[in-house]
Amino acid sequence: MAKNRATAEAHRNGAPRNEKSGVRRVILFPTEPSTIGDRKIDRAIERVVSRKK
Amino acid sequence: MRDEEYEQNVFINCPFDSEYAAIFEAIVFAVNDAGFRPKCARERLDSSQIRLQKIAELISSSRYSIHDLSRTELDDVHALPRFNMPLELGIDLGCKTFHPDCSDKSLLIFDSEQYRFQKFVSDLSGQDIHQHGNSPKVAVAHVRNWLRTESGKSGIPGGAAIYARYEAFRADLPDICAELNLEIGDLTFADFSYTIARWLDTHQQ
Repeated sequence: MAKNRATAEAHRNGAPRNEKSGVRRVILFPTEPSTIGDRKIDRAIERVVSRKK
Repeated sequence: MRDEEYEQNVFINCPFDSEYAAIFEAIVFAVNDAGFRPKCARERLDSSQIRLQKIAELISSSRYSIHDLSRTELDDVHALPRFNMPLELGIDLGCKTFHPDCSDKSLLIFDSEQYRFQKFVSDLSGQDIHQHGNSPKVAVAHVRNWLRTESGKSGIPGGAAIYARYEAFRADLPDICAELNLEIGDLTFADFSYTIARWLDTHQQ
């Protein structure tokens, strides 16, 4: 019950869902900085993803 | 030492040659998709730091390690084996044995063929050595099953699901690199690793 409540709370706060279980998957980002720049990579991925939609 | 990062880090000790890149990159993706953080000697570009010191730091800050001995073979030029991978495996085994905070370390050891390691490092007999047969898909399945078993973590996708996502990521990667005006080979480990994490994060929403 507590777990369900925590999951529901996470989803209200915008946590994405796993396709099957509905539980958020945690993606860990590198601790070392990228050499290109994180925002540049973010934007490149956003553009590629939006073109495919 | 036993902080959250230690539990999340997976040190990858693999060859960096172009022939091995397909397996290396699939392993990095699988580690990330399983919810862990891949670490590699190539992530730090600070040339002032002694290489072995850098590797020792990465090993002692990672609960999990993947060691691939499959390229321990004679090179064409010098007829000598490259021994960096077995050396780093030895450092890791020493860390697990002697470091009071690292006795719970878990190691996944790969070689190309079953029992081949016994011909050049027979002291490893008794260790569970896995074969990937130079197949990225097989390597991904081994990495996934090992992390699931050793971490006890639930919710890790199956090997086939991870590999299917890896293929989707590889399909997007040329376009992502084109947006960055880079070739795939230009990505440093830190860039590649960040790109995987952001791509995974974007594709679970």
